[in-house]
Amino acid sequence: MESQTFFIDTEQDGSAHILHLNGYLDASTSQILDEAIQQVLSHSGKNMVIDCAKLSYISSAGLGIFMKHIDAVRSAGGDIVFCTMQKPVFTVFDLLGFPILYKIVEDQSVALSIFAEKG
Amino acid sequence: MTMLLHDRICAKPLVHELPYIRQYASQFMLKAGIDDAFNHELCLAIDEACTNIMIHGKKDADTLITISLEYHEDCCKVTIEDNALTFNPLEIPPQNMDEYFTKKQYGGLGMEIIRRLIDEIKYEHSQLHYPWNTLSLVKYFHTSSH
Repeated sequence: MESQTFFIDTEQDGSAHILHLNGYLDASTSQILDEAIQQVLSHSGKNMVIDCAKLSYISSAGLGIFMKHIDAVRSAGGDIVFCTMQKPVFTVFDLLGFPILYKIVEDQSVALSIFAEKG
Repeated sequence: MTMLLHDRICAKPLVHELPYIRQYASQFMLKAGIDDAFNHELCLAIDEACTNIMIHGKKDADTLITISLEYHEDCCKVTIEDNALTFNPLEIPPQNMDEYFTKKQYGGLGMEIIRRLIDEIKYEHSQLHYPWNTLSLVKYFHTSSH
């Protein structure tokens, strides 16, 4: 059986912090995401691109972490934008109506352009 | 309801067991020839149900979660039993997601996911020699949201 691990690679592009999520995001791994977002916020980062290209799975524990931080991010004038989501992951977002609250775009360049337009 | 395949595993009530529980359920459904979309949705529901037990139940050395899977002609039935604290997930009220988003709440979405993916949900509690919780989930093949 394949290992269902989770890790995050981060990089910065202009004002945007890109978090590349890899693997399986559930109640056993959501703390890793929580800490990564807190770290961006602690460095005054407010524009976050969440690259989901290599995110294979998400449960409500993962969704809860984004909800935990979205108010602080938007209050600071920033946002969380998701890109390159695989179908099983989008299904979970869509199931609960998350596309109403979050921008979900096709690819990373589109996500970055949203922050570039904001200046 | 003709049962075509069944299997069962036990797990400790610890979140690091979740990947193994999902893999077990996924392998069972692959063996039964069930499609990926249905497989993903049922694995997610099982994950959410087990996470609730792991978060709300006790974590003594003698606490166990048993997950039984049954493949029938028209559905899959999951029975999750545990001897953790009494916790009836059906007492969690349905979420109003508009209100949830307006208030920027977080947490408490696991049961909402189960309600939206599963056709029949039953909870029973017994206390003969020790507490025993049984959660039954039935998902029919025609209801996959994919």
